[in-house]
Amino acid sequence: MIGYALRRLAVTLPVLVVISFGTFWAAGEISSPTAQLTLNPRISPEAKQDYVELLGLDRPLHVQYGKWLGNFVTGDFGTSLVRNGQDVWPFVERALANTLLLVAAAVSLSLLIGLAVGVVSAIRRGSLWDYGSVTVSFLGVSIPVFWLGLMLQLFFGLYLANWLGVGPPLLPTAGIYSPGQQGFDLLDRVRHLVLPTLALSLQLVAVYSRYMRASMLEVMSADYIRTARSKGLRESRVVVRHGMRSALVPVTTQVAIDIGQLVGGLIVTERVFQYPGMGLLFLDALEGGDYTILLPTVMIAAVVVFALNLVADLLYGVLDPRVRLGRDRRVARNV
Amino acid sequence: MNVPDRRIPGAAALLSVRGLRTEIDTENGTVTAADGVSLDLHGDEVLAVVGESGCGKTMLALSILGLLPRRTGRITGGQVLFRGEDLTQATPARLREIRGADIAMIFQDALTGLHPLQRVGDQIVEMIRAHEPVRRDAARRRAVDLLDLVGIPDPDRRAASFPHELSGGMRQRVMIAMAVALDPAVLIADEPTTALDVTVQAQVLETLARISGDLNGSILLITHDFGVVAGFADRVAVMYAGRLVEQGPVAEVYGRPRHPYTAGLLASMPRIDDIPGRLERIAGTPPSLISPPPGCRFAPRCGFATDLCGELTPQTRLWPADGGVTVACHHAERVGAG
Repeated sequence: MIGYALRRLAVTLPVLVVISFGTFWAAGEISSPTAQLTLNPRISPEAKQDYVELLGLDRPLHVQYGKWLGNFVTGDFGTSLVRNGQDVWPFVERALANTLLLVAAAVSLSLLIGLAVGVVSAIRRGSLWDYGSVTVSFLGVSIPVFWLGLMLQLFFGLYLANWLGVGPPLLPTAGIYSPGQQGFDLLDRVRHLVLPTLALSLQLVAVYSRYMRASMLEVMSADYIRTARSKGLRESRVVVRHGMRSALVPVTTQVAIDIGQLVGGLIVTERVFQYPGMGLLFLDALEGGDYTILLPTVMIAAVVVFALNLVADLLYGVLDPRVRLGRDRRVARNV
Repeated sequence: MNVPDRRIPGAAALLSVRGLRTEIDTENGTVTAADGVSLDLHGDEVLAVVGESGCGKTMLALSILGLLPRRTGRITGGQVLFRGEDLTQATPARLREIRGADIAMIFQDALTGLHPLQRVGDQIVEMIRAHEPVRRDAARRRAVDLLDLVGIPDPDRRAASFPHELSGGMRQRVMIAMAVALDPAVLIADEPTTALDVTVQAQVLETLARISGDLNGSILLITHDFGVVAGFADRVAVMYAGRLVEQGPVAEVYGRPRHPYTAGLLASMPRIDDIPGRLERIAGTPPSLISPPPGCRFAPRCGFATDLCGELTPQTRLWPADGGVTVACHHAERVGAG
């Protein structure tokens, strides 16, 4: 499996190089670091030329790219153009941590609910519960994240408190800390996480429950489920140990792949809730013309998506012994 | 439904199916897979149910243990008596107790019948521990012994294999080991060798025969293969289009078939001492079980059929009185006379 992983990486690397070059080129096109200098009448053309040479902007594009790539892979993200020359990495590090937390919260919550809903729908196929969950799922995939986010803010931040006649909103609608908050407060942090997580989760719950239902329906009509029943096992054991165990294999890999598709929803969610993660950092850098932050943000997102795809592939081999990846096949047969 | 009592006097049956009626919903309509089927399985005997594909024999087997497809299948009449207890009326908990421990089942295709993601030893352990409060390691030792018993070489290591790592014959042996793990009184084997190569078929059958000799259980063998029946079964029940047409000791039925369908099947079997030539065959095809014809279902294909056959369903009767063979044919006397 290690050999397979390495070969997959070898295939992935050129793709990442192409993506990084494209991003590098596009970032240079949309944000010129010298634009402000040109606008400022007190800066002489000579001083501007010195600055351009300092940044290396007079060199050919591929040379600039090579230098940036070398720095990027060695972890040197440089200093920010816009944020007073501060180091880029701390910004990225904080944003990445916040985003990973949000994604982890949303995916875990969605898995918990989505898988349970899917299993119950499958074993009570055609029931009121099943039709109800289909309806909710269709709503879930149809409602745009930005609209759902706004509605959640209105409801929990305004209406609910008004109706109940209580003073402050029940849940904070923006940021990750209350104003004036000093130091780390777990409860405050969690309360700020609730609404973005919900906004991100609805769609995921809808999708996961559909996956699980379909997978479970297929598995529960398999011959080995009949065998399990013929052994006199409890129905709960038949469903969980025999049914779900098999049904989770395709669902798990699909979930790992889908996390990559969360990127779009993340950007919108983080913007709506002013959640300081990678999405917000990306938008700020884009609007502020700060390619020094834009580049690592996009690149890290790309690397994570590719890594998750690889994990999904490897996971399949771990979960299903019938799948032996690549060259390891013969070895696996002989043990 | 008029189901005559055909119990053989003096022998209380271990498993007795009485007038069983099983319906299966299909896309084209509701199929009556078993229509008034009655048979008795006695202690320490092998009863073979023979019939061609689609005659309802598998659904009959599944009906006994209440394992019909949940959404589409149901028993609409009759009884399944196991030691006098009607399994069609049993609670799910009671059925679970019986499944595996008292009545175990071997399915046709062990590749799809065994769980693909569970090691074969664990599948046997699970069977044991579902019914007996034994420790995992003790159950595991028994599982290895069982694998040894059914002729799997190196059973200790093979117990850790996944089904896809075993050959078809080995998989079916695992299935047999699992089914006999708790020494069940009744073993239902649904086409246990159909998915296997001919040479492997013989080995697996031999294993099954040996095991059934070792253990003191009865076997209900579902098959389409008359050859298998001849070498293996004590009694045979011939099924056609959802009904049993003839039932009796193998030697009696083979030596002197009373039902034209049985006679036709036997005539269509290739024999080693035959002069090469065309095989006999039964003209026509079995009727649809969605809307079967009235009267005798074999009548449209039968050389003996008269107007009576198309109108009146023949009663199952003992003929002749001393042969121990029951037959459902208006003209059994003519068929039996050769």
